[in-house]
Amino acid sequence: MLKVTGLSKSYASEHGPVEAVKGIDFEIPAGGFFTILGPSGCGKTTTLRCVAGLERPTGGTISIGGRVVADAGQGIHLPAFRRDIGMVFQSYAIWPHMDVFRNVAYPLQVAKPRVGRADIEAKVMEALRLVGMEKMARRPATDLSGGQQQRVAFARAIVRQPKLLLLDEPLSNLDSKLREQMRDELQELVSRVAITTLYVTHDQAEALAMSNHVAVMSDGMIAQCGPPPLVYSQPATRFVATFLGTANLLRARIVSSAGRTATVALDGGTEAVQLEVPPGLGAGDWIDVVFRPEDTALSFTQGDGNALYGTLERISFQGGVSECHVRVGRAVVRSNLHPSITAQRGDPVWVSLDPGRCVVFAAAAS
Amino acid sequence: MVAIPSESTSARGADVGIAGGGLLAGAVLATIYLISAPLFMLLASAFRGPRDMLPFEPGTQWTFANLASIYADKTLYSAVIPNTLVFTAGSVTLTFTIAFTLAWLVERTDMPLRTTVFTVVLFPLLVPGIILGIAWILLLAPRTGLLNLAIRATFGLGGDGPLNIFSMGGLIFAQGIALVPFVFLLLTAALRSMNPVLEEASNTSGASPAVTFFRVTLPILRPGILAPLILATLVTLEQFEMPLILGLPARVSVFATRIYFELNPDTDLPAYGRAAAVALPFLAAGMLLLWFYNRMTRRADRFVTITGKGYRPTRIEIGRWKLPALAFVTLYAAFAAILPALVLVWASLFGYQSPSWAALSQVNPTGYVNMVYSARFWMAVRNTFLVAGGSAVLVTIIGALLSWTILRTRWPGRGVLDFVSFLSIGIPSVIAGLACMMLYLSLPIGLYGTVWVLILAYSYRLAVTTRLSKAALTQIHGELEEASHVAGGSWLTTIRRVVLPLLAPSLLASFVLLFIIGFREFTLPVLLQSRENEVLSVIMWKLFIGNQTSQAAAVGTTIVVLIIPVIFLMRRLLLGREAT
Amino acid sequence: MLAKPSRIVVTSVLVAVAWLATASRAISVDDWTTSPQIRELYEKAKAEGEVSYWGQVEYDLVWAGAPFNKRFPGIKVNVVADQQGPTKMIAESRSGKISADVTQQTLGSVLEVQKRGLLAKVDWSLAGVDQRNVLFDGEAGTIHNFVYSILYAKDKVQAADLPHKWEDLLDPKWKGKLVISDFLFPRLMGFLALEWGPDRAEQWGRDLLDKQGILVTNVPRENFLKTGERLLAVAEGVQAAAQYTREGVDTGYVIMNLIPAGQFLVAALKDGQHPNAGKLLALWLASDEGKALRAKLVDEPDIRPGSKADLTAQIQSSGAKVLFEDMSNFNQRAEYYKRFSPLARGM
Repeated sequence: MLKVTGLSKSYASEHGPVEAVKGIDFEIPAGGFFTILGPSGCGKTTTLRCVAGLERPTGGTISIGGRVVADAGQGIHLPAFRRDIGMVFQSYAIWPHMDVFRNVAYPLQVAKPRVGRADIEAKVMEALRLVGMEKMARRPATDLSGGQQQRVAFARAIVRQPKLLLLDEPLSNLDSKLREQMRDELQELVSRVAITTLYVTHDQAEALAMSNHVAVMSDGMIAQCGPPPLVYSQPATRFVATFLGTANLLRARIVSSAGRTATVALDGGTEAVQLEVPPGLGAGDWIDVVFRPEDTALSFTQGDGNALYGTLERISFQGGVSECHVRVGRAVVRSNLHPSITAQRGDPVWVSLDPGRCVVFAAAAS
Repeated sequence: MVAIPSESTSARGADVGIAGGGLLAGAVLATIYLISAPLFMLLASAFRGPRDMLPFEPGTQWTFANLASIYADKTLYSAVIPNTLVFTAGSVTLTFTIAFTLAWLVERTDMPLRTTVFTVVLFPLLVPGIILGIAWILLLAPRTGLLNLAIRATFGLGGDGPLNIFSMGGLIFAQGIALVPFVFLLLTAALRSMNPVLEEASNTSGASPAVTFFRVTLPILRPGILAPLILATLVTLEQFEMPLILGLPARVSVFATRIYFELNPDTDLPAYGRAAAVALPFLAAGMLLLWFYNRMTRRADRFVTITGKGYRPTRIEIGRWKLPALAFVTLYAAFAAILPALVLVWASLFGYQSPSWAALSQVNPTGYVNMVYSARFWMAVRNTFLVAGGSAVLVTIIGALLSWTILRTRWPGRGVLDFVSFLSIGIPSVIAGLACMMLYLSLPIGLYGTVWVLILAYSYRLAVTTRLSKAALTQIHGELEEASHVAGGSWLTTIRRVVLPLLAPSLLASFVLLFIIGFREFTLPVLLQSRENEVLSVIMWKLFIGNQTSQAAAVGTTIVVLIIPVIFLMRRLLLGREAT
Repeated sequence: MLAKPSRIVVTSVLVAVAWLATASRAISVDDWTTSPQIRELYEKAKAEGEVSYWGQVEYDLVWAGAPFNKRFPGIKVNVVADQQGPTKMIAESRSGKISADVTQQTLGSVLEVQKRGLLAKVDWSLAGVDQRNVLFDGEAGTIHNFVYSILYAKDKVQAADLPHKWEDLLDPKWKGKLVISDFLFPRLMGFLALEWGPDRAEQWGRDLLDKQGILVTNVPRENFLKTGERLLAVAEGVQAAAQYTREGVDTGYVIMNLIPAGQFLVAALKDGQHPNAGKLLALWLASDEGKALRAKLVDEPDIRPGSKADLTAQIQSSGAKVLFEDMSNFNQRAEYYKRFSPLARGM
């Protein structure tokens, strides 16, 4: 449904030209839920706005539903109001001078060809019912809470059943409890309307939970693109690894290697561990080993091999789990304990890894 | 950032401390003093008679005679009121159409040379109103106006005209153009503060730019448009320079000229009481318009469009409309400022010679030579800067403190204060001048005839600053101030280190605007003049009515030249904000 | 017993007395400034050091300082041109201190200050001023007249075409060619009403407006004459012709058959800060010398009987009738102004 190739966008600023997006490609099939995830300033919002038609790309092409809506090389740029899209803004952008009904009805009222009044009424009420706001149809927009505004914004975006639904960090203005609840609701809604969705956020929990494809973006480029479990467990770069979820990063040295397997000595480890390493590395090379807390186990007794010896530096009760920071040599490894287990700072612990779930990168020049 | 404000910008009982309280109270008292004296004089004089005595001379008494004679006059209803309505409506419409188009082009499109255009639109502020009127006569007098001559030559027409500045149409045209800079400034501020995301939402909902404009932009901008509209109406009502210079020959008289005639009767003293009686409707109109404005904006208060960070305002691409847009701006600038200024400079150097290449050789700079060698001229320069600057500073400070009091405290009566300060715009400057004259003649402090009395007299225009700083204050979260308190800052410290820096752009803008207005001010210093407090516009006027036109033009040119750098400064202040 | 004087002796004595009488008057007319009273006044004035001279338009005032100082050195003349002069003086009088010492105004304005008792009594004969030229029992003296006329640009109108009667302006050939000041229009009509009666004067004014399309304005009329937008400036004072010429528009004036003449007066303020200097300046301004210099330097003539101005002679030889503004017709004219003013001002 959406195909983006070679998209780039640069701005003039007082410090010279700034490249916000540096040539990215991605595709969303019909009905797909695609999330662009990245920290602020990575270019994700700019990308979204280019797809929406609110910004003009400086390079690349965009096509929606097989129709080219932007082609920088050919000078094609279809303005936003001619693209068949619906958009939910970060600040919801509910028009304060209209009531809920008129806000949602707006896209139908300005549509060409004209939509009949009865039709409008029916579609608007249906959209409001979908988001649970049908009883507030005549409420002035200025009377709505944040969550309510968000629902109205969503209803407005889908009321004319556009080909593409764009969401720009719609949950970032909500408090965390509401955010979780809305996240689930949003996901439910999107699957019910079955519109191709492009979602932009900096919250990796949202990205992982809601999408069937995630593109992790940094500094204007896509670092990795794929289904959430893949991107999570097999991050392609150090950045992706540390950005998604929590990651531990340990320095290690290859002791010996045979093919793809190598024996490495972990910094602070008592024994060598067998890991899969990327090709081209051999004995004596330094590597970074990345593993997640859920792939570790903490023990107060020394078990069998692959365990790192360390001291419990911090234990933080989180309700459902106790997060632990273990000092291993010069590094700090994060792991989890069941909340019922009592432990104290300073306790000696052993952290064991699952080598199959470690990801190895060649060490950057230290 | 939400498009609808939370409660943090509303009033709270701020703990201002003793020093702070004193300062605020001082500002409130100053406001009351600066505005109520003129208001009181206006109201009182209207009811004092008999007509051939000054309102407060021994022997006068309270009477309705002034009102009776003015309002029983039939021509008031058959001619003056209809003329005034037509004139005001036509002129404000023209002002608004031009100012809004220009503001829109500058703020919301990608028209080239935007910064230059912004400056150029402000040029008419340079030229004193009298000059504009005379210049238009020279350009558009039916028989010999330069433009008429050119048109007739181009199209081979005979007879007079085709354009005649001595008509209601001509008057509306002249007045309409003259007020554009003022309205332009207010509109650009409103446009700049609008959150573009609301328009983007309309865009992505399938509405074309035109539809977006009418269904989203205009309604949301309504409070930002209403204020300038009302102010423009009030200011137009009190204008008398154009109606006098152009309306009199056209046999069109409006309310303001009526006031002028009462002050310049054929015999007797100026009839201040009657003039005040004529001015009463201005106050009434002002109150009515203000009430109307308050009602409209009360609901729209919740439309506060706090600009979100991160998005630059989207500019509409105007493509092939670039040239027509630039042509429009050039045309406006030519009529409103450039041609009159050229006329002024020409008159100062060449007297009454008709412009031609041959005449250039007969340049006569004696006007300037005399001026430069005159000690009186230099004293007037000093006075003008002192008075314009002093009153601008005074009004800016008091106005800012007043806004803070109105918006952030819960002191009783602040609504009235707001109302009254807004109303100050509705007081014609003639009446304000008269009021000050009476007041300072009566007060035993030796202020009368000094420069200080001019500063005080100019300072009744608080409405300018309160409008600008209220708008800015609303956009500053109260939390920013609270953070300062919590960190240990006293109220004064908070104001000094948190609020003032944030308010600085709008305060500076108000200062510059007031400075320019004060520099050009003419009615007040003429009324309150003495040897010691002469300002440039008074000297120019005296030369003018003494039939020393080229001399007067030299002084007029000096005024223009002195204001030019101030205009550029203003441009820098107002546009520099955009970068942040 | 005295012998009867001889005829020769009596005649000689009579001749001697007559000679002495005329001689002393000649002394006071030609050199009044040397009389002992004036000298005494001058000493007191010099001690005051300066004098504040008020009027409406600066041009009418600044010329006086230099010649006055030639006669009476050491007294600085501070000129204040203020159209609100009378109001200021009246307002200031309440505090007992007036900032003006000498004021020159039209009859109507002087009346306002006079009737409130602000003027000082001056012995005008000390300056050789004819008693006919003294008003209000010594409180004001005449200086010059505003001589109503019609002005024209010499390069645009032939002298032969000029009108000499006010009625001539209604000739169709002047349609669309006339301009007049809004301030002077009703005043002219007021004067004409004295001669023609108010109804005819009003009709004349209406015809000028409706039939002749006269342009009423308050900006200087020389512009209209220069560009040719209009050809005749009606009701201007003759002094304006010289002013316009100075500004580059060679202007001439017409001596009409009926000449309204506004009257300007000079007076000293009782509560002025420099009373003696004030009296001295007032005397000088009202003296023949002052009036002659005023006519020469700023073209403002005195055309009252006894005046030696050229214009007076011209008027006399043309046989025109002069309508002087004075107290006898003042109130009547004020009534007429009130009646004609709305007409002139378009209300």
